[in-house]
Amino acid sequence: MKWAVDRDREFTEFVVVQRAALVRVAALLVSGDLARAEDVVQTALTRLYLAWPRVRAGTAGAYARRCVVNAALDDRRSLLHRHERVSAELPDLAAPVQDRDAADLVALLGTLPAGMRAAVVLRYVEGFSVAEAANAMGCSEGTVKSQSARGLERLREAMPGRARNAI
Amino acid sequence: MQDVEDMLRALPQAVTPGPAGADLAAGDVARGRRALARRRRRRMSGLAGGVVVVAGVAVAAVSLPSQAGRTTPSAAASGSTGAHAPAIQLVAYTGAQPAGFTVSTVPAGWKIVFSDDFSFVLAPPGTSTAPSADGQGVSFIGRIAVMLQGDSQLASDAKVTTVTVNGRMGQLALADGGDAKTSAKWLIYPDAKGNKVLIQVPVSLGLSNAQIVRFAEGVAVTSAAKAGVG
Repeated sequence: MKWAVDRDREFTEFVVVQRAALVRVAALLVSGDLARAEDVVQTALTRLYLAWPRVRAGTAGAYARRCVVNAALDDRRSLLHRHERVSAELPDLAAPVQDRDAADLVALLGTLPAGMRAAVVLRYVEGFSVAEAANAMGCSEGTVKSQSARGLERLREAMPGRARNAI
Repeated sequence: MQDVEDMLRALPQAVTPGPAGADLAAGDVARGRRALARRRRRRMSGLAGGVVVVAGVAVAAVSLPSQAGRTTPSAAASGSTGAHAPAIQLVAYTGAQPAGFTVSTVPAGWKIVFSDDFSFVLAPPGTSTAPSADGQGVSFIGRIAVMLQGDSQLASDAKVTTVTVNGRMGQLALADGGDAKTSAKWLIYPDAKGNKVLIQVPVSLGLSNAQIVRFAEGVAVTSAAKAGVG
């Protein structure tokens, strides 16, 4: 049984190490909306805290990412349930994105449908395997493969100078 | 010129925020604690945040019946309580009574660590009785809690065992939610005055249904007791 003190200490250690990456993933999943990304991460970390006694050692990161993806993809949250829980100081998302190409790419990601965007971000930005991405998204590996491939194709079409093996 | 795939792989360097400061992490912990407290309140209505320490003193051991629903003590001295339970005996309670209830027997060595008009909580030997450092109230994990039923309900698909408590029919079942470490049984039954009492007993304690009934039969609701809501 996890005593309250142990839970808080372990959870804090996890947050200090992982939070920035979770915010990054969340921001990319919600088209760069920083306030919404922070809301997503807060929701995900709250769920993780509640589940902490059941989370096996070494799997908290995967669990947290799954929570982030679920929270980001939940359309109801964005329309009806967004609470005013955003902290007074939002973490900087390399704000502004200095790299023009990176800024363009973040914007283009925002034009993809939510599920397709999630597949692309998890597979190509975060480097998840197909199985890991499927686990985080709660879908089949086939869906991850098809969505990430289509998403990549759309991005290439939108950036004609960046086609595969372009010189 | 980079391919789109290469650009995606390089994005983390361009868009990752700085590491989380102590304030951010503390905020996440605080939100987690609040959510935990809300979940506990939903499961156990009527909780308050005070702590009262009352010692229980064993005077005489009472052996326990081994069949659910029985109200007479068995002659078994070993206190055999079931296939998976260690021997636990109920002993006469002689300490100060909780605020809204009276209790006549407690598991040997257990103490009342919390009491108010809504509920009282028994904890096993060796439990710290210090107030919760985060002000979230006493934990119910691994402890016995007694309260008026209020809004608490067993899940509609709960497997209910009908038992008899002081001659009146009650319901005993696993409470909704929880996992192997935090799951508990609820016994809900009416007393002679029509109060609906709810007793939560952790599964990990290993008390048989009969023992839970036996304990319940020693609990009485006073006029000071109030039912929690929400």
